[in-house]
Amino acid sequence: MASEALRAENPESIEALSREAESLKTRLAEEKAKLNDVDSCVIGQRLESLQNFNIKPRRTLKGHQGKVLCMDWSSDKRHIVSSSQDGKMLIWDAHTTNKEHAITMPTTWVMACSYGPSGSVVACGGLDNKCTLYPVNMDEDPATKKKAVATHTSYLSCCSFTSSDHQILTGSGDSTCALWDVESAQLIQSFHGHAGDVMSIDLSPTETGNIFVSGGCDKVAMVWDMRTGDCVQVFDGHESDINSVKFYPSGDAFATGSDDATCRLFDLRADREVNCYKKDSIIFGCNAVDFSMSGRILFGGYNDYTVNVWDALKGTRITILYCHDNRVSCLGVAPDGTSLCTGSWDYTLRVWA
Amino acid sequence: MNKFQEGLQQQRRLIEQLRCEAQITRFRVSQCIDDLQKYCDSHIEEDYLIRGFSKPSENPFKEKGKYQIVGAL
Repeated sequence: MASEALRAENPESIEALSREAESLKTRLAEEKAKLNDVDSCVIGQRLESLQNFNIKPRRTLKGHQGKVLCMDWSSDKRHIVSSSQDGKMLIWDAHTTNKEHAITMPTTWVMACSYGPSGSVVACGGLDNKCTLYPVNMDEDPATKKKAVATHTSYLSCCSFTSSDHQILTGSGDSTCALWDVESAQLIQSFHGHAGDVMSIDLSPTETGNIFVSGGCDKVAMVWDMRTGDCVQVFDGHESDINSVKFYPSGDAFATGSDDATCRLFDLRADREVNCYKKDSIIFGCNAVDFSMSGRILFGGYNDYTVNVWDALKGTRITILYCHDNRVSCLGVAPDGTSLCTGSWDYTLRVWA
Repeated sequence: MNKFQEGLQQQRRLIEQLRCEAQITRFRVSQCIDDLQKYCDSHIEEDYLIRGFSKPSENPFKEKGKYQIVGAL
């Protein structure tokens, strides 16, 4: 074998590199262990339990003819975009439940959709490997003004605008993330490091952040510097695919939802996992997570058709929301924190408040 | 590039990544959790999903009708 012959010529290098990697890993683990001075459960016990948690299903959005795969709120706190396995993207007025636009994509499994910060453009994509933008004004057919901005070498799993309509960040089954200029449809920065499909991304809520987090099928979450393209932190712990990542509202931590039936909280400054949300009775994977306004509540959408509502600080479950007849695939808290939207493989979305 | 060189490059990338991570300034877990909690405490009164609405009419998704009739009386 050619590779073995080459190895014989370089007997030292690969072993030396492996040894160095191992010693670095050990040192890192020791450093992190030294600072792990308290169990989050102990702190959680001191907190008072949340009383009178009482949100109800208020609206049902019916219209998709396939599994709902993704949803996003508009900044106007009223409109919702959702995408589906049937190749459709729908724009809803959540107050009236009216469908304002229906956009047919040239592909099935539209796995990603996202509202631009201005509320006048939406982006989506899926098995077409592309991220396409559609302007959404009441008087025009969005399809006539569509624009393909990003192209990956595998399916598009997630997309999110940065602080303006001018740049969009995408994640893909080709195990990369990429930042694109909308106007020129040019790649600004690509992010290599995941060893499996990227499933979810979230941008830091802090204005000076310039970082985002990604999670994927390689079971790790990575924090990236948007300007340099460097991975600045890696977080492991999950035992299966990470399906969803979401920043804590302060930007100091992020939550993950995974196929290993747990959600976890990772702190950027502690550089480690600081809480794990699980129960023996929960055996199905979690597809989507989001925080309430204050960060106290973490909502998780699961494959057993439920939404588990976790006290993010205590690590305990507050309640379970039942309403869907199939997997809960996506969820999101409205930008003003008044309501929660859940989307499911039962073809519907629900709004809770 | 053959498999061996690829493996070598992968190891080099891993080491570079680990060296970067080794340089991160870390904080005590107790302090980090404390800060998360402080953020939560200072925003919890605006968290409608926890505190609810001071008047039901402030809920944008409250079913209308019942209250309007009462108002008309």
